[in-house]
Amino acid sequence: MLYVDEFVYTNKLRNSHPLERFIFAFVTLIIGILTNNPLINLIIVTIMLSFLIYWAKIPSFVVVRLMLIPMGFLVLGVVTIAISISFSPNDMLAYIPVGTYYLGITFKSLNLAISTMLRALSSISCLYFLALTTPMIELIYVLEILKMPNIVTELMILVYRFIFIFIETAFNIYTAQSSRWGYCNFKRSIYSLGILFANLWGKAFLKSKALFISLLSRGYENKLQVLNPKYRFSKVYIITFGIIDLLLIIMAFI
Amino acid sequence: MILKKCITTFFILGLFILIPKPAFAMHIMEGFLPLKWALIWTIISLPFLIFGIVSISRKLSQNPQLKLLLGVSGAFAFVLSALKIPSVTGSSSHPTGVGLGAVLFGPYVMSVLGCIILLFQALLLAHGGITTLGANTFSMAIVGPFVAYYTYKFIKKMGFSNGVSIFCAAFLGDLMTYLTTSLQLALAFPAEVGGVVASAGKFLGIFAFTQIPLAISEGLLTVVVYNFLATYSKSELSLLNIFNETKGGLSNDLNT
Repeated sequence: MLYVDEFVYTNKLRNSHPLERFIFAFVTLIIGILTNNPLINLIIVTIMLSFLIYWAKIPSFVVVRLMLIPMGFLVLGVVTIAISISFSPNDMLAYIPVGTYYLGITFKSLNLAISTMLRALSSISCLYFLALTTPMIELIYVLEILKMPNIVTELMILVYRFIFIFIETAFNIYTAQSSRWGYCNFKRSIYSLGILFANLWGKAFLKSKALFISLLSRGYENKLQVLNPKYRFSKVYIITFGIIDLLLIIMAFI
Repeated sequence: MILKKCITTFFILGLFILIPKPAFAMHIMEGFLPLKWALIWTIISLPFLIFGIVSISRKLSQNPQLKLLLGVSGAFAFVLSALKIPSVTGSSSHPTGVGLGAVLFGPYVMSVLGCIILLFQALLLAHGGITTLGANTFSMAIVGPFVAYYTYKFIKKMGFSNGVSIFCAAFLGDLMTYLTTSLQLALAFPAEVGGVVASAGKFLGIFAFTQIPLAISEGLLTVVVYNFLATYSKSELSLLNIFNETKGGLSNDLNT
């Protein structure tokens, strides 16, 4: 597992209003999905990754490793789109005969596969721009501005708060188990994981009880009240983001 | 001709290299779906989520402690999906936790929790995405839990043991998630020859390598977890009764 969080909290783009970055990432994402021009997609990838590395000062190995995570799905999905099944190998660039059918790549399917891949790459770089410059707490604040139901944002705060505690506990149990041959074969692994999760659930339950008691003692009335810091809009950011998006829209659609 | 042979050889070699075990294979990644389909799946998912939110808020007004329990359970489910489980074929993959969640909380509550977990997976683990959140929510947080929940109830009613029902629920929940995702991909990318059906066949075939073994191991894992919970956490689970109004949920069975 990759701990993205520590880099997010120390990134250099953090000192402005989170709404700016949210809108920039989202608009660029939509442009990248709507456009049919592969060049635009490549430009978006370049802009987002260079912003992350040179402006937000996220170490480049983190960005590269993140970009590699969805490759499994991307490659598998794109290959599936590229392969087509047909009775005749006439218009195929390459093929394998299977029975009376032919499995192969046609010009059209290859085109579709490549444009899908570029579109996915440009969107994923926009998603990373958002995820790597905006901590979850600021994102929840943005969702509050966008009028997300209260219960959803509260649940998000709670889930976020406990994820890291549980992951640490789970990995400690996992290490302890595997050092005692808990994962030596398939049957044993399933059994050990069963113990792990059952224990973790017990702990999770106790945690929620303790949290309830401590909240009650601080005057909890069915609502988690959190003070958000005062974020300030920055002209430089808004102008930069605005110009980039405007240029992209002009290049993509006019 | 030689060129064509070369390309074909590359193609076959490529197939062998690319097929093995990507983890988290069934989250549709960010930007993979065209905007039209991303919007359609979001709109289909919305009624379920709204109903889920309404039903959660109604129950929370009666019992405030449940909100914290739900939050903590969400974090638990996230951790569950972040760990790798060994698969029957020797590779490993990430469980979805859908089966367990559905029988513990009921399908509507699980759909809201699942949506939140998917958002966290997209932002913290880079699996899934924001534009594909609707499509992923539909396959993993709506179809999966509903199938798992009603399978559990149905098989239980037929008179089979808890273990068998839980296994079938988790197994079928995973399997239907995989079918739904393949169908979503096929609808967005119909094949030139044969249209959506042929395309669905392609996606089903390629993802079957990872998803069917995963469904079997997750089924087994869910049974083991269930057995431990039933032995050691009976009283805690009884609190969850409130989420399963209809008789037949896991927590009801534990109390009887």
